[in-house]
Amino acid sequence: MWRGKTFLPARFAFCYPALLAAAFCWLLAAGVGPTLAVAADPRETVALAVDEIIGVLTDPKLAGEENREARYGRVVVLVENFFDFEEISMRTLGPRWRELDTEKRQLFIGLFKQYLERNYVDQVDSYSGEQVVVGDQEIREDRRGNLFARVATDFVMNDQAVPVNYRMREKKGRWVVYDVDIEGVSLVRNFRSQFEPYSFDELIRRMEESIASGRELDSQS
Amino acid sequence: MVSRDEKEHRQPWRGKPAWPVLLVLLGCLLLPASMAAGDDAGDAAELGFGSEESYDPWDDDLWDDDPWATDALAAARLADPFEPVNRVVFRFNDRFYVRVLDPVARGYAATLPEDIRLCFRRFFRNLTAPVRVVNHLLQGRVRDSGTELLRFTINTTIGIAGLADPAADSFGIRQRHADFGQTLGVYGFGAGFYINWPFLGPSTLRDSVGMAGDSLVNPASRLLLDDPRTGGAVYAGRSVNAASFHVGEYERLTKAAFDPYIAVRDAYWQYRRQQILDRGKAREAPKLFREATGDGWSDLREEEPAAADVRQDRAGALSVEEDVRRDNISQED
Repeated sequence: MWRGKTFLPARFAFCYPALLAAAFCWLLAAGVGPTLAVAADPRETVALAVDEIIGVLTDPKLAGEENREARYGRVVVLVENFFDFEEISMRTLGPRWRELDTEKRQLFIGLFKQYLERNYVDQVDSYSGEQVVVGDQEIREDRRGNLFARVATDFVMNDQAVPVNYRMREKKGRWVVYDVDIEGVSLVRNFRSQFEPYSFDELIRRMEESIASGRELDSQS
Repeated sequence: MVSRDEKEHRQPWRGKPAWPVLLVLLGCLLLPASMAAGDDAGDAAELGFGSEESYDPWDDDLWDDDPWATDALAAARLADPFEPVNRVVFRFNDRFYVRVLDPVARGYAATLPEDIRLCFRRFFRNLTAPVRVVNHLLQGRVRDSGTELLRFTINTTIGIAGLADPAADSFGIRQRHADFGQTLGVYGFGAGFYINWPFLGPSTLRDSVGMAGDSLVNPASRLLLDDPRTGGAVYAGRSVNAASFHVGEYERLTKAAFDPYIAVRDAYWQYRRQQILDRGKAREAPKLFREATGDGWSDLREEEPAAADVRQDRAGALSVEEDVRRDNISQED
């Protein structure tokens, strides 16, 4: 986990000189051209996050039913670092987002984050040593100068590879994920189409119910 | 709020003349040499494919600057005029899966080792090879069609009726999916509307026509027509075997969903569109299709200088991963 500590782990120490050289080039370029990314590579960001999450899942100290809470806690911290839930919420609600005031937006972001974590975190337990191959990245800039990236990865299991692509944005010098698509199915789009028929209040109510029922199940088990 | 019909109408797949394309294609098939010569596809540009309407689902909102917001994929919506009926069928399928197919598949998976189940899966995949051979050809992808034919030949002989996959394992020839619904999509036919079939699950009008078409060249389906009892047993066996690899996945997906019916419908729709768009954009695809579907994601598969640099930096650490990656790319192209 690199939050609050060094930006790159020791295993990338061998490329520090290259990074310094690159940083120097950015400084030169900043004088002439438009300012470009100062963040680590999107590809590197994905590779790091994947390594860290797999590290947690394969850590013998965190394995087993009794360490479930600790394991999930670690995964959630890593995921919150890697995903931008504000961006995800905004894109999931689509044009409706603009009609909401700050308070409602914060309410939605918080609930949706909890909802996703509650419903997806236990899925990491289905991991059984599959290999994740981080492929190529593509970076684009929009008219306002925001940087967007797509990073292709493959989830290799049995005799087949499932393509998983991360869509990222550069925010405050870091690359954060705002959408994941698995075999061409975008998570954000999928949730947007699910949310569409429901009113905002209905969404909030149903998510609260779902989160609460998850808690009940937890306390029972 | 724009009505569904209107949105459906605005998608690029609809309202384009599909039949001229079909004719051009048939012409191309009659003259394979002209295809191989260099994809000029003659008057393709004049058919109006270049001027693809772009429809931004975000319309005038603050995200219209997202460089990927105008993806053709995002553009179209799937009409669902029979939603109430589909939801009933969805509930039926859901119960059937949870109460029948899933327990059977679990028991089956616990009884038979994975290696043997993988053999059966390869066997059934090999059986459907004629579907892919024909559809690659119909999509104008002569090389892919030949590849599938070669795979079928190798696996049926050396691979003992398809139980093994020496074509991929020893020769590195990978399977590429193709079906008739996809072929129709590549030709420019719209999806029509969503249909949730009992037992068969999510489909559209176009893909249902596709399924019917494919069953004409699929030996397993022929068997079902000629001898319903044996064919039915084969189908059930195939379904259980296939489900045994995905035990628990369905529950996880639907449990995490907010509205499982819409989640499945949308996932199916996105997945099918991706299959069709991919096909249109891949490098071997005739220029006609590449123009029809526009540029985008597939460009990423091309070597990118920035990524290549990173790779050199980390060459030692990545060489193994890269080999796997390259295999995947060769599978794609």
